[in-house]
Amino acid sequence: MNRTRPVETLLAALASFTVALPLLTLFDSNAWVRPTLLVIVVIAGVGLALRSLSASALQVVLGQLVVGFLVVSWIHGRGHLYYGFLPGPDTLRTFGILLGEAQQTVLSYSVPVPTERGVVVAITMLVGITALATDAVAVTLRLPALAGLGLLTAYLVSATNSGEGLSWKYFVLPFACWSALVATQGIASVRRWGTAVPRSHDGNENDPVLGVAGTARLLGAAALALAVVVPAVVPHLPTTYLADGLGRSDEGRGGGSVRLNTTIDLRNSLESQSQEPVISYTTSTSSPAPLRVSILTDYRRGEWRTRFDADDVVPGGTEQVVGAPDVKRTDVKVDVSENRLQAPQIALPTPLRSVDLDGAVLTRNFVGGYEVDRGRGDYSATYSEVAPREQDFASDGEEPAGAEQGIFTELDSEGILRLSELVDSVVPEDATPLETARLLQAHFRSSQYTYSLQLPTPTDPVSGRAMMSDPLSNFLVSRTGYCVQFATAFVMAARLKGIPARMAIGFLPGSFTNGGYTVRAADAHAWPELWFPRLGWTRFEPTPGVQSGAAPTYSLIPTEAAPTASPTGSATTAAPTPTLSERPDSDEGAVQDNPTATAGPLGWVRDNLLTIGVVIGIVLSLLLLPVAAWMRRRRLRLDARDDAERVEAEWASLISRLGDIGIAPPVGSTPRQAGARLTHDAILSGDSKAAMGRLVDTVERARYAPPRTPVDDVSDDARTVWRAAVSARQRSDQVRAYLVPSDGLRQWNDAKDAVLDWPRRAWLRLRRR
Amino acid sequence: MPAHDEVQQSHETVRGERPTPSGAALDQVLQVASSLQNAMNSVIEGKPAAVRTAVIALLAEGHILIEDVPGVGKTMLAKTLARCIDASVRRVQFTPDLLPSDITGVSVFNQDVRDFEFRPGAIFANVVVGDEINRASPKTQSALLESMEEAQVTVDGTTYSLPRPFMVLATQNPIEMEGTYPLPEAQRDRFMARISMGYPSARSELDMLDQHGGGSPLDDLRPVTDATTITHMIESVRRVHASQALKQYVVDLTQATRTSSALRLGASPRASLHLLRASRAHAALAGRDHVLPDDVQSMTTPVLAHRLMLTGESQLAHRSAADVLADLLQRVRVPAPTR
Repeated sequence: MNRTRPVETLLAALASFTVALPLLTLFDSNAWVRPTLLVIVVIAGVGLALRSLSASALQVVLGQLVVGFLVVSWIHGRGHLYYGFLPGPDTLRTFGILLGEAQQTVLSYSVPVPTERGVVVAITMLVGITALATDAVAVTLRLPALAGLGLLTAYLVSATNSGEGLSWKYFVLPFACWSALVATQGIASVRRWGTAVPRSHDGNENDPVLGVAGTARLLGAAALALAVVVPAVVPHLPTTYLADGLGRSDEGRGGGSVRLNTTIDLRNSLESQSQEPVISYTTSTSSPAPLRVSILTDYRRGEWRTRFDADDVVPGGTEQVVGAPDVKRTDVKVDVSENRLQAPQIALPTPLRSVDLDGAVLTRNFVGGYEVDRGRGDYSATYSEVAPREQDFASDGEEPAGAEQGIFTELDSEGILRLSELVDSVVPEDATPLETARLLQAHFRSSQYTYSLQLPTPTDPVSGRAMMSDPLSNFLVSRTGYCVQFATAFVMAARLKGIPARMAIGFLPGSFTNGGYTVRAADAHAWPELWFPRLGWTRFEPTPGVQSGAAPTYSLIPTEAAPTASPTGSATTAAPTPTLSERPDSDEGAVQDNPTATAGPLGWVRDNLLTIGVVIGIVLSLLLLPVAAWMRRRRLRLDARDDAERVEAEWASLISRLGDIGIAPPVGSTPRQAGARLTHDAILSGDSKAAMGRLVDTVERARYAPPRTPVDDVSDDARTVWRAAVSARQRSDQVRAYLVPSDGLRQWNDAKDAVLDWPRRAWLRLRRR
Repeated sequence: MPAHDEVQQSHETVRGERPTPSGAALDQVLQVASSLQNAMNSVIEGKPAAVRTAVIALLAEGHILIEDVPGVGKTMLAKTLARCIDASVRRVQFTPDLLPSDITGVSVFNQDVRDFEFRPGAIFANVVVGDEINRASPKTQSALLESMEEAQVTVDGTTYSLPRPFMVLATQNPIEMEGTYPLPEAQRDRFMARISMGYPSARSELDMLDQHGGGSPLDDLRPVTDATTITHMIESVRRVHASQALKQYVVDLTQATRTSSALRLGASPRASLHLLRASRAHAALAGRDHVLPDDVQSMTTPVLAHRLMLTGESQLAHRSAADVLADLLQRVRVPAPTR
């Protein structure tokens, strides 16, 4: 029984790969596809090779495991290998760190998740294990139906985490591969039954063969019908999540699919790196305001919490102007053409004047945040673009709604000490609220702060040990963070100086393309709003320019405007070189990640070192068997001690090679019968037929004639026969005969046996001594 | 098994290499054998294979058992072969009252010399035709044993050698027939080959009616060779080379009959010997000085089939020994020479 099973191996590998394809929807780039595919191919190839050497199932799986891990190490563990190719404890440690990073990433980001290095490693390993398990169960152990369970699990992991319905194509592909696998082996095992049951020729009732086939068809049809009917009858359960974390959309409400996480924990990221568009809109102004989604006021123990208060309906979707009527305000209209934000969240520019939701009801909660009762794909809103003068920031006037409860001035005890030290050093005692805000903003946007999505573990400056403290203190010490940290520090600092302040969550205006703006999930942002009686809630921008864009003009200190105002101001230029874990979100930053500026052929070689290595490896592995076969034939010829043995060697080689193109003499045939059969099957005629005749004649004489009968050299005749036979075959047969010669397999098998037998022989030799 | 040992002594005393037959000797074998076959074929219509087997057995020093239903020419084949050779021929009609001494001979008291004198029986001839051998009693049948195997007869403690060449051509009816005693296995094993005549084709039967209508065709038959020539030919055939690999093949085949699940009794070592000798003759008839596996395969069924006993299962499945042998031939590998 042939254990190579190339077709089944291919199908199993395809199934493993296609089952991983839904991951395309979960991650923002396809960087994982190439290494994963390589690992799958390697595992399948190793399985194929070891099975063809008739290694035991355990040997096959161990071989695949070892080689698979080697390849993963070569791909991902470069720089952590002994002599550049041998994985060691350092490699394992690196993998541990990378996998930890991957887990962190997967838990922190909503779909699509950024494919950083750890994530790619994790995917490569997991899909590799899936491929190994599938290959071992379905091909090595020949239990394809069982392998379906593993494939289904792998499929469900990616399918349930996307948070939305998966395209049917993602299911059909692996399913087709798997059913083909089951069918191939089913057919093979039925064929092995042979023809023990004679097939009756007259009337086919009571025919046992047809009876079995009929029952099988009936069962198949029934299973198919059940598979269609049962899901249609049984009510759908809500989508649940196998791995908690990926895709945070916690409930399947109607409307859009994107939901902004408003429960901000400073330890975790609010950010999503997804380039998926969330909102598309058009507006007349050249500098649109950010779109606010939610407002947070309560900050306790390093965490912003949402207040659940009674909502007021905004009658007619029109808001009163807040603040002094003499402030210069321009109404700007925003037309949202596409909205994927999930209700009740709605992104609106502020301060809002009116909104047209086409039937949906807008409500305003206690702290001033807006919600809708159902999702709208398109809506329009009008807001006031405020152009305040210096005097408009005067602090005398009415307090904001809800101020009497102190919700806008409430301070969290955590980190307050460090914060007040900072405020005292930055803001003079007698500064006006506007000066305070401007100074604080200039301070946070200065080069002392680094924008990074990766929050560093704070270390004690004296002992150098890691120390755990509250997030705000961490930020103030490390001076590294992103919008949430900057805005939080700013809000708290303003409250410390007695200015009512709150945290706004929403989206930056997005990028301008094709006459409209597109807001992506990556544009999610947090900023502080401060209360000025004549202006109402006024936006400030303490986050450095990389992420936040330009700060409002009024928030800049007039004299120092130039150095801090530019969007790519000092914060960016002064930021230290990006570290491995840092992911700049802006496009400019992403481009810097690919230093592919090298030119010329040498540069090309350096860039494609892995690909070239793989190609060379494939070519070498393709040559393994042909070279081994050639060596075996050569050895056979050289080992021959006389003419008769040389003839025998030629004959054996020819029979073996003809076997490779599917021409084999019957088991009990004499040389003469074999010759006749081969002549017929290989369609030999003319010269080649005569050569075969001479060959058979010589073989008979060499084998059976009295000793010392002279025999001719038949290598030419053997070559003639082989060429004639192989040229008459199909191309696929020819390729197989040259690439996978059975002589080569036998040679490697002998080598394997010799290696496996070595310890026993060594032991025997030792004992003999 | 004493019989087997004796066989080896009598025929394979010279182990190892013997000079292979010269071209002239082979030519003689070819020529005489073909004229013998032609003469026989002119009498036995449409049965060249049976004729060939008979000639092979003659050259391989074997005895032949011709088995079939009455009237298909068993006796005719035997008599034709005997007639074609210019040698002493005896015909024994086996009947239930035939006595062993009728075959071997008897010592009678000669009044003139006042001593017992040996009167040779029917067995003392170059060619003995034993007709309907299974109608005789087992006692008489076994009288044939010693003479067939050893070409000698022992009567009253004195051993008499039989003339050379010596060949027994026995005919028998199938054992299901009325009034027959089945041949013991031991005796069947002593026949080199069994020939089943089978009915002739319609055309052959028509030709036969045309030619044999007038009188017995045996009357016109003239001997084409004599005993001396046959002895020479037998000597040539003995020298036909059989390589080690070929002998291995013969042994593999007989071994396979012993392990086959379809057979209750396989072939004996004597069968291996007979098979090799018959194959030598077959090779010589093809003008070759060495035996090929193809020769062995051609002789397997005639030489082995009558010695095998099928299991009950195989009999119920209506398989014959020839079917089982055909299966074995397909399964047993032809050994390549080993180093």
